[in-house]
Order: sequence, then structure tokens, then C-alpha cells
Amino acid sequence: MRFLRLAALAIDKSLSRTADAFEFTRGRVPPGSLIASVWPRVAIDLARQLKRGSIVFSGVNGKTASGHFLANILRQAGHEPLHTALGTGSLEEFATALVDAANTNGNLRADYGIFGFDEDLLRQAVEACAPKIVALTNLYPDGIFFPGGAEGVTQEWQHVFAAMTPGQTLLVNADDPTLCGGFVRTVPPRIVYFGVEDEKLRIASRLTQYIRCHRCHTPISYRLVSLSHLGDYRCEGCGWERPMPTVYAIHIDAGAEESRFRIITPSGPLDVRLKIPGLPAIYNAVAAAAAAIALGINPAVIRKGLETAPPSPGRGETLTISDRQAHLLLIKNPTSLNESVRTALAASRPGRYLFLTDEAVENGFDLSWVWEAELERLSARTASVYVAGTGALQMAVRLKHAGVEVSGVLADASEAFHHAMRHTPPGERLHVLATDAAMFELRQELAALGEIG
Amino acid sequence: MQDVVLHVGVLYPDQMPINGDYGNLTTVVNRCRWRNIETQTTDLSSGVSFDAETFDLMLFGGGEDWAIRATVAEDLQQTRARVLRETAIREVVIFATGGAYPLCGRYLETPEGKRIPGVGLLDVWTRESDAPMVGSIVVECGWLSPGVMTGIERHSGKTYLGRTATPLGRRILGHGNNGEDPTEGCRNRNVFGTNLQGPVLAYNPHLADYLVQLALQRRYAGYTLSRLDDAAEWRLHRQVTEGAR
Repeated sequence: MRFLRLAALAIDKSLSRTADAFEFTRGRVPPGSLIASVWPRVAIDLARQLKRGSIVFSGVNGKTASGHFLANILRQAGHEPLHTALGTGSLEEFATALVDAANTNGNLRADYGIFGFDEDLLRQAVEACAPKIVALTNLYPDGIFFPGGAEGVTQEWQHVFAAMTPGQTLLVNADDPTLCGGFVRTVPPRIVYFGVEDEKLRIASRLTQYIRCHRCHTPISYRLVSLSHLGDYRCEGCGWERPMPTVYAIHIDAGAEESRFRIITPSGPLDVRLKIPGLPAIYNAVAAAAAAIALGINPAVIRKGLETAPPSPGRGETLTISDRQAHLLLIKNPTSLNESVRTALAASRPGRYLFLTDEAVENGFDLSWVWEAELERLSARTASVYVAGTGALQMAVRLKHAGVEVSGVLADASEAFHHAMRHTPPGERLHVLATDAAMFELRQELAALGEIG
Repeated sequence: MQDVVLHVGVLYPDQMPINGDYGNLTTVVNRCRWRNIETQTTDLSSGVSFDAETFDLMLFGGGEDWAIRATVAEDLQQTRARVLRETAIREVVIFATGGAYPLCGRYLETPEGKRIPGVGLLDVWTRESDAPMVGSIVVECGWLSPGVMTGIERHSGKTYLGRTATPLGRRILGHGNNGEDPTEGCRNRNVFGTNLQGPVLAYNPHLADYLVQLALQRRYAGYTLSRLDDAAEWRLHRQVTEGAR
């Protein structure tokens, strides 16, 4: 049996190398694809080899970036973490990371595994790698495609929690009433809440009016909203309210290029200067810090790990090309689009934007979800806006309704990027907001040009 | 000059905030604003009561999620079926898209064979299938000018028309009501149901104007809408229709 598994591992790695060499799949059939589909047990066996165990991040947004922060913290602590950095949230990527890290004898060098899984795969994830920690980032309703929506997800997750043991830890974003409302307090694993607390973080968000208490279905009342439907809340119907977090950020100074804040932890406060802007990055950093605290990592190491972490690919990455900056922001649902815009708007000057949208469906392209984002905030606050990619014309109509003047519509994403960069004055920044496929293509091209290492 | 106000009711905005449905409301509000027509919008979440005379235009959108639709269907039956039927009789314009379209019909049949009753505004019924019908769709509509509407469909329910039903149009690309006959959508007087989801009104300015004009006729007989610059919308429209050829 061991021989067969090693053979499968070797075939899988060879297939991937061949596909890469001939560019059959443009890097989209990575190692592990065969294993994941034909023999998932091999991936599970590899995961069980991780000497110090696994940490699973799940939720709609932030699972990849939180894992990215944690991986850097663990590296600073002298460990060798394995991380699913592509951010697909799939079982295939889980298998990929493990197969890629294994030698042909089936041995892994990594000691920790940090895996991001989409919310509908949490049960399989927990069964596959028996994680030490399960960290739940958020359940933005506009990014859930699970039957029954957010309530369907939390009902499914109850089965996962019921199977967890007291030795496992559940990290939960206290600021998300949809997420926290789905819990029964007596579930076996240890629950640690994390969050953000700052009176300055008050935004208006349309989504909050649709959030209801999981227990009595009364609309949730918010004292403040920090991001999407996250914030400080309470149910006036049954009295249920936001749980008190034990790891949380305060004194937040979110700038256009970096953020400063203090994380309160049971091991003492950490003053952090994050090179990645935006409140979502702060939530991700706090989630990673909470996980690191649960793993017993020294607070000074946690701080260093957060501060030295580069952005995940396409998630707040800044590239300098010919004295101009390209700020790459992945957009995949209304919340990530809203927050990308909010991050860009933190700069004092009107910004320059390029929207690269490419979401194919049969016979066409579907960008319906951009109508749920609050792009009206960009109105009268832009210096230039270009749209490109196969969804460019849909985006142009959306921006017209948002009161945003479009400078140009270009079909080809690569051409549009270079055109928009040329029209960005030296020393200034172009915000490139791109959907997953468009971001992948752009980064591939920039890597080929040597702009990305 | 007379102040013109359009009263818009949005059914279950909290249950179904997906598929870009907010785009239809944005389009109606903006196209009115660009013409100095005031809009007053009311969210009609579960528990909010209204009477049949309140609104000129009602928007009802939503996805394909069976669990959510079952909850909405139950609330419709218990609290709103009667007032909606009365609203339709008074010729209020009701525009139901995506997952809301079958809820306006006679019933939806789940994969297990359970029938969820609709409110019966349209003589159609829907059966869930295991064939996802997703993609661009182009529909010929004789009552529109120009007579084509385009958009995105994303459904697995197959909808069939009853004897008294009139389709919205004939599909020339995409799956339409069921992928078997050439029909798409259904119209009964001022009640419109379509599989074209979310921002269908944004991508079809002539359809948006048709509905707004129809809705305004109730209070402002003979009122006609001024023309707008829809170059961006028609460019998108051409991209989809030319792709269909």
C-alpha cells in the first residue's frame, strides 16, 4: 500500500512539472490535483506527519491573509510552516501544498500546516487534518453560496464543533454577529474570541439592516459598525450581545500605506506597525496573533512576524515600476470591493484606479455582484478610472450609476495596465482592483517581466 | 411644473441580497433622479405591512437558494399573498427576477417532490432540476423597443407556462424558462417575471424605462419620460447580442 501511495505521489509531481513546462494549464493544475481527486488519503497521511499539527482558517474573506501572517510569525519563531498561499480555499490546494512539500519518499519537512478552507469545506478540513486550532474569520452574507446562506453554514458547522475535542481551540471573530450567533456556548473545544475595538471605526453599511439574531430573529442593533456587518452589537429581542474578545486591536490608525494599532492579548499588549493598509488586514493580523498566542508563541516574536510579513500575492501588494506604484487589490465579493475602495480612499488626493474584471459564464461574463458594492463613495474622488477585461463594459455601467466618470474602457487587461501606469504621474500610485482570474493573469505577466520576484 | 414621485417597494431585501438585485433598484432610482423624478423607496422585509395602493412599482429579486426561498414563500403565503394579488389587480407594476419569479407563480416543486405554493400572480409552475442553467441570455420581446433584452440567468429550476400565461419573449441565446421550449419569463398585465437576474434593468435601459413609465401612468396619466444618454448601456447590450449571433 505504501508503495502505491508513493507511486501516486511521484506521478502527481511529474504530471504537474510536465504541465508547467509546456504551459498546458498556465499553472492552474498544480501538484496535488491528482492526489486530491483520486487518492485523498495520501494528502491526509501527509498532513498527519506535521509534527506540531495544523491550523485551519475558514470564513468568507481573510483566511489566506490570516494564514500568511501566522506563517510569518511561525517562521520568526524558528518553525517551518506549510501554508496554502494561493487562496483558493479548496481541498485541491490543501493536497497541493502537502504534495509539493513532500519528497518522493513521502516525507515532509514542515512542522506546522496552515490551511485555508472555504466555509463549505470545514467539515472535510477538520476530518482531514485534525487541527489544533480552527480560526473562523467572518461570514459576509454577500460572499456565501452555501444552501441556506450564513444560517446554513453555521448549522453545518455545528456538526464540526460537536466532533471537536476539548484539546482543540476555536478562534472566533467576536465582531461578526452572524458567526457568533451560530454557536452554542457548550461546544467542546476551547473558544477564544478576537476582534477590533475602536470608537473611531464607525462606518455606514447597508448590510447591517439585514442582520438578524440567530436565536430570536430580531434585527441586530449596532452600537458601531467597523466593516461590512462587523462591529459592536446586541439583540434587543433576547439580550444576546457581542462576546468580549480576549485578543483584540485598539488605537487603530489606518493609513493609506500602513496601519498602526495595539493588540491586547492575555500575554500583554503588542504595538504593531503593519506594512499592509486597510482594516481587513488588521482583522487578519489579530486573527493570526490570536492563533499564535494559542500556540504559545512569544509576543515579541508575534509582533516581529506581523511587521515583517509582506502582503499575500495580489492582496495589498505594492510594486514600483518606473517610479510609479501599482497597488494590487484582489476583489472577489462586495465586501472585498468595498474595503479595497475604502483603503484606496484613505489617501488625501483623488486616486487613480484600474478595474480588471474577468468572470466568465457560458456565452458571457457575470459581474452582477458589483451592484451590491457601495462604489458611490468613489464619486468625485478619482483622478482617473480605467476599466478593462471581459467584464469591462458591465463595470463601466456600474460606475456610471455610482457617479464615477470612466476615463477609458479597454478590452485587453495587460494593455490597460500599461496604459494606466503610463498615465500615472511619477511618484503616484495606481490602485489595481482585479478579480481572481484577472489578477492571476496580471501577476503572471509581471512575473515574466521580472517585476515580481 | 408638477412634482412627480415614484413610490417603490422592495420585497424581502434582507432575505435575498444577492445576484446584484440591488442594481435594479439603483437603476430605477438613478434613471428617475436623472430626470428630476423623485423616488420614495420602502424596504418590505418580513413583518412590514403595506396596502395595495401604496406603491407604483414593486421589485422582488433573489437567488436560487431553496432554504431561503422556502422561508420567503411561507411568509408570502401567511402575510402577503392577498395584498399582493390585490396590488396586481390595481395594475401596480411588479417586477420579479431570478429566484423571486417562481414565487410569483402557482408553485415550486423541490427535488424531493414537495410543492411550495407561490402567490399565483403568474400562471407558471417551476420544478427544480439537476441541470444548472447559467450564462448570458438574449430574449426577443415584441413589446419592447428595441425588441431585445439581455442579461445573465443563473437557475436550475425549470419553469413552465400555463394555458393563460404569456411569455415575456422568445430566447435566442441561453436557456430561458426551461431550456426545452423557446420561452423566457412571463407577463400577466403589469406583473413581470423573468429568469434574468440582478441588474437586468441596468443592462436594459429600455426595459427600465418601460417599467417606470408604466408605473407612473397610475398617478400621472400621459406622463412620458425624457430621453437619457445610454451610450454605455447600449455598448454593453451590443457586446452581448453580437456574441449571440
